[in-house]
Amino acid sequence: MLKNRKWIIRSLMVLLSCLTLLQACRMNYPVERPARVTVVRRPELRAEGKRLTMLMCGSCHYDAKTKSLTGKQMKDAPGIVGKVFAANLTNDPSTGIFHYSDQELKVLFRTGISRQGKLMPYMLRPNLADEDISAIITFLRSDDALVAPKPNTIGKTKYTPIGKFGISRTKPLRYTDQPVPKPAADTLALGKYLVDNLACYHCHSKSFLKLDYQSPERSKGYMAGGNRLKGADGKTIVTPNLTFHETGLKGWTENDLILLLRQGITRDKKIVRPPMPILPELTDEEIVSMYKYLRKLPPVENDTQ
Amino acid sequence: MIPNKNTSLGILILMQLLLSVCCYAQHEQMMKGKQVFEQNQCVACHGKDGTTPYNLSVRLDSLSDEVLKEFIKDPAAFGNRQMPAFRSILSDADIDALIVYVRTLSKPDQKKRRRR
Repeated sequence: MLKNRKWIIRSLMVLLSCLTLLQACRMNYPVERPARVTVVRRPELRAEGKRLTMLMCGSCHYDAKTKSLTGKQMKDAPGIVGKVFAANLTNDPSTGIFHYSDQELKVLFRTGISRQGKLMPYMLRPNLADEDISAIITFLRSDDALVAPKPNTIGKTKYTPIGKFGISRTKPLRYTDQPVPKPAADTLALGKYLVDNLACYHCHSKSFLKLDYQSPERSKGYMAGGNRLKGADGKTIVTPNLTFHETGLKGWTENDLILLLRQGITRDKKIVRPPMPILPELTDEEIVSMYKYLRKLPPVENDTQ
Repeated sequence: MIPNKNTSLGILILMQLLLSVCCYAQHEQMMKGKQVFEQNQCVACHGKDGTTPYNLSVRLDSLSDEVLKEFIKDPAAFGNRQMPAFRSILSDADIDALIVYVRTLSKPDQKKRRRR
């Protein structure tokens, strides 16, 4: 009798642990339908929308083979996480964003939750300005060849249990329809805005699991590098320190950063390697603002090379 | 006029000599290209034989030397957002040699045939 009771208690404990683990790996949430989501398409912002889309979405969603935003496999995702494919952003009715409303797209940017209720933390851009969201959505809904309907047959994301656990460490944000202005006049604020919304800090901080999407500067090891990614050759790449310490960008000039971001060449004439994207659409003014912002950050010692 | 034996032999030797010079120049160009390929971290993305993980041989046949040269100089202009623009670190002569070399890299079907 006593033996049986022990068995029951043990079984209950195992069941409870499994349930806790399942809850911890939660990736699906009820779809939030906020009462008010303000999105205005602005045809005059279409060209700017195309530039921003390529800057912010192109690195993951642009496929050079299809020459459009049909998505591609994220080869830098470690195998332990699973197979990850960036979504098809063309207006294809079966696999693209055709069925997304403009409001649902905005909610996805701000909360990280898709219209199906799936958590996608890497999509989280709570601080992306309304003006930029309008420009991006205007472009995504346009007849540009980059977003013309094309069925994506590359693959479907499949996370391993470890991947699910990792992704679910981020909790979705609540949607608020508070206006988010773009800091155009203030150089330092623009630099911070770009580092945030180009997601530089995702890779160049300590870990994806310790990111603070709402206040990026609170992320662990913010911009001091050390995050581990998979390089093109399958070997681990440790991301560089981008603070102005001897182990980071100390000695770099504005022109060095322009050469690196636009052409992928470092100041000592080495090449940057995938997954670091080349960002040819960035203007001089934008790169200089990022440079000035990075210079203002406290230098952190972290020799990652 | 029918050339005599000595003239024919002379022409043949001259042609052979020219051919050897051309082959030597081509070989030199290829060796220089190999050096450029290995020294500029092309190996990191294309592997030693140009096939892994970003396969070179798939598209090379469809590109002329002129287009390939422009691509290497500025891949972003062709929609490639991963490969750096080599225009600021490689000279025209380096890129010409690189093109000669990468065209000699094995194609996947040749590799398979060799395995069989």
